Amino acid sequence: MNTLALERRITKTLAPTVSIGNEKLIALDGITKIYLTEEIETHALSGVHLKIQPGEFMLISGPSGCGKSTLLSIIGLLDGPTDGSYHLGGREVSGLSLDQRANIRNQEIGFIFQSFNLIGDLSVYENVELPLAYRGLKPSERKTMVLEALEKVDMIHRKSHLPNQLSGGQQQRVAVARAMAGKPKILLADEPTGNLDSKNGMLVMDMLKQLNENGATICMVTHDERYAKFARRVVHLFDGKIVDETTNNQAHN
Amino acid sequence: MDQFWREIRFGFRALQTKPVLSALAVVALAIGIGLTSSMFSVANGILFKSESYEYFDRLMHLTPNEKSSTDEEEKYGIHIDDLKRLNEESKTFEGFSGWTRGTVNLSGNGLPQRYDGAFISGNFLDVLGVKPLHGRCFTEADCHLNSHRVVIIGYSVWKHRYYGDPKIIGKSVRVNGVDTSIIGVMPRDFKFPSNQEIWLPLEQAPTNKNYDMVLVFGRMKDGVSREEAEAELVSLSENMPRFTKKEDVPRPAYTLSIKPFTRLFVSNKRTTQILLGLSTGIFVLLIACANVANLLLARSTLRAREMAVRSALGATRFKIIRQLLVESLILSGFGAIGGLILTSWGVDFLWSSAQTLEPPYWMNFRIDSNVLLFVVFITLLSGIISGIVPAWEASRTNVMNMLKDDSATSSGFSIRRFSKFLAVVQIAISCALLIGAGLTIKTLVNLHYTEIGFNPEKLLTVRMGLFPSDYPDNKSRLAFYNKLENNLRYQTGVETASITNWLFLSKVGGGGEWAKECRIDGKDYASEKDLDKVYQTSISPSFLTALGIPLVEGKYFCFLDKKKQKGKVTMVNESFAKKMWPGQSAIGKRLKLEDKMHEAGEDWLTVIGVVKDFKLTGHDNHLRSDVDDILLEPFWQEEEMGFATLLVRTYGDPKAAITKVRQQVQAIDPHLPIYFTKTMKEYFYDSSYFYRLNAGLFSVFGIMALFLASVGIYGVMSFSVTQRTREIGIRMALGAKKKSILNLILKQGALQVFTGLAIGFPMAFGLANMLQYLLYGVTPNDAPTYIAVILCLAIVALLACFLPARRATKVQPMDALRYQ
Repeated sequence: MNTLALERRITKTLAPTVSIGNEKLIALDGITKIYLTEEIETHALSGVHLKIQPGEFMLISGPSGCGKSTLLSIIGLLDGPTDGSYHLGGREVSGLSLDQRANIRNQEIGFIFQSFNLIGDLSVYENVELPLAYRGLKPSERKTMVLEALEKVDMIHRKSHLPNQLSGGQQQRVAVARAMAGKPKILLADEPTGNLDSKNGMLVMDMLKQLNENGATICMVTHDERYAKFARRVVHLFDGKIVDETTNNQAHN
Repeated sequence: MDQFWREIRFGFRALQTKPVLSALAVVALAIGIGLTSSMFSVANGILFKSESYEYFDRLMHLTPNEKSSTDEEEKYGIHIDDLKRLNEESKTFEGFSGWTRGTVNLSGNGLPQRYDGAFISGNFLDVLGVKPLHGRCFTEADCHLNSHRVVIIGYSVWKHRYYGDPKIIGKSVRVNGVDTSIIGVMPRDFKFPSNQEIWLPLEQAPTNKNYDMVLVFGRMKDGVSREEAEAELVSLSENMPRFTKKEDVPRPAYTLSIKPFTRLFVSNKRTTQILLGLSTGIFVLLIACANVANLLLARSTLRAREMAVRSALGATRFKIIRQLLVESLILSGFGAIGGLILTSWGVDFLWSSAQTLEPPYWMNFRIDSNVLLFVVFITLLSGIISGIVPAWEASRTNVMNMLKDDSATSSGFSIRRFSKFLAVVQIAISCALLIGAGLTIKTLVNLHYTEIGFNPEKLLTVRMGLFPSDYPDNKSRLAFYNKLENNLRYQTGVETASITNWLFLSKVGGGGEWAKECRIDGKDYASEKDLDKVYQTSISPSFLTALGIPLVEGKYFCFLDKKKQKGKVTMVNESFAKKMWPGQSAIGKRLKLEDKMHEAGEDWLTVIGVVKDFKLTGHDNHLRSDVDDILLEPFWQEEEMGFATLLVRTYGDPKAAITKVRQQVQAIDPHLPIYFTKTMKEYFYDSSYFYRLNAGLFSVFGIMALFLASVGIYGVMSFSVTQRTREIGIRMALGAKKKSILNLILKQGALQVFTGLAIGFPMAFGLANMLQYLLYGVTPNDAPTYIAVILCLAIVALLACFLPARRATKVQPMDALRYQ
């Protein structure tokens, strides 16, 4: 299947998860993150204020070590801030327990990682099924959703393969299917093209674009300037602070 | 060479970087090597070692193989006429000697004393090639029934009884009541054949028909192979006349085979037992190796990048494997040092424990060159076994991926699978060993609570032997026993005393009594083999009351009935009576003992009484039965009551009565020694020696295996959690809660534990069946033992899984995803 056909399929079949409106999906106020290693304090984030609207495609960029991934981890509830408040869908989430955070990640957030992070011992099908299983869905429901997601990324024919039997591009497509299968409110992508060649990288970006056009909220971290054109808003991070924010009117046109 | 030392240096450095891991590996190997080497030192001392004394070289025991040969028959011996023919006709042997063991009472010069003696062919020192320290050996003239009596004494007899008297040769002493001249003193450490201290000519053995049959050893000529010697003996034995001059009764045909002389003292059962112990040790060592392999696998994963760098710098796969093998060999080397320390304790313990069995003088358990070689061998082997797979896996590192840090998917699947396999193996072996321990412990408990039918408390047993020179007939012997019994009854502290010819002695390969064949009047037997068996003993009338054994029907023996009785009488125990005459009274029924050494059978015995069941045979394995079938005869019916046991029931400590017994014996006969003094409780305790030994060994092995397996499964699970940290992070990122992670890891552990148990179960069953002859009151498939062991093992193993599983729940997803 060529790239265009794949894009069309995604556009056609992936239903929007949230409608675009004025309410804020994510609101970060004065988020700081300090890592303590022995006697050294490392300020990864210093008072970050950020709001993400539903349906937005936002890109966080900046040089290595500027705090991009830390910010994404806090947004994804993989990590907690040292200070500041974080509202997700109107709820304060910075003080939640580990299990409560796990619940939100499972129901409302989808992750795509640079290194794919598929589980090597599980087949493609089982990898995509995993978050749905944690959600407690019935096997029949899970099956429908998994097959739907795999079909959308054109990986259904590889559903029984193990990740190490796939190319990097294919693995990332499976990772996208896994992230989208549960229809999360927001999709967080941490350098999703970082481990791919330019052709596969572009293919993944096109997929994300189509998902966003279909209503998905996407927040992506990258330091690759080529992908800025896909986002509507680009936030520039430097030394743990947002130093610039640009709106890309050309995006999606 | 330089490279070799560098690898050792690197190896030490690498092991120092993970001291806890290295220490665990060393401890595991030390336990495995220690237990295996301890068991090997026993096997070495008994089965493998070439004897410390040169005269055992090429020394063979001749075994007559009859069709239905058992251990007892094997020791039965060869007819003395056949021995003469062998000496005349054999070309492959230097010579043959016949021998038999016996009690030797020595008196004169101090208290009379009993020694273990050997009645032996005059040529025995020539066959052995040993010279006396002082004096001479027997000559042809000494070896006749009517020759002047001569004796050769052992070094310790000379030193302790005669204070090393330099003029001992020619001195006259009383041996078994006969004036005898000492003609030789043997060198220190010579106690041939097992622990004998006095040697007398075979021809002067006490009159007994059995002495026509003797044990025979021969020394093969230098350069003759065992096969050649055996072939010649087969041919000679086939051509031997089947009739002797003395009798018209044909002797059973047999062919002769040979085995090293020292193996005569180790029965097949004991050999199996020793090899089983050694195999068990090897199993524990395998568990230890599996443990170390797992620890090394864990480390090799952590060192994958180091291996990639080495590879990138030009190290071949062989060099990487060699480097890692050097490290595992260093570990096993340290393990061997610890193992040797454990071995020295183990050997000391086993040797002191074996003293109960009075092992032959040439037998010992110690760390000799054989044991050291074995330790070196198993050290190298365990180093290689535990190191080869981790080294192989480490050498397979994908250099490019590792250096690029490209670990997009979880790696090490095959390593983890192998690691899990090892854990399963550990659980399986532990399961088998623990069930072995459970069954043997249960056996001990059952023995402790065995109903023996009488009260063994405050009961002393003392042995004595009356020889024909002092007591030429039964009348004189009975007079002695009666007088002794009566005198003792009037001693303070003595409740009662009685006499039996039963030998209350339990030691390896000997002593004790065995069942005799008997024929029930009116019962048809298809062949001699179908005859019934019964333990027969002759007793004084007070025996049953002294032991407190109640009468079921009929009456006890009574001196007053002695003159009135027509024919011979007997009493039997209740079980035997019920078995032989079901639904009838046994009183008045007849039976007779069948002794194949007698030309005609014994007289018919009429049952006059039936007593409650009681245990005569102790717990000794080959005499063991749930209920003893016992036939009692009054001791006046016994023709040759030369050896007897005095039973003394006391009011206080039975040991305190020993002096009183000795005084009373010597008051009647100043030349008569007493020996084998032990309490009835000691008799029963000693007779359970092998049960206690087995229970002890299996418990030690089982507990060590359990310890190693739990450390092993902890290591595997810990390794697995470390390996899966990233996966756990991913799962958490996707919404897995703590409980899900805990379940995930515990499920993995449980799968290994239960797979191990499923494999261990049939292994245990196999082992238990091999142990069957060591079990008492418990079957090899005793369900409660299996359930208890499986539950215990499952709980311990799951606890070992729980700790790493709990650690897994504490993984921070962010840290885990950063984890490479």
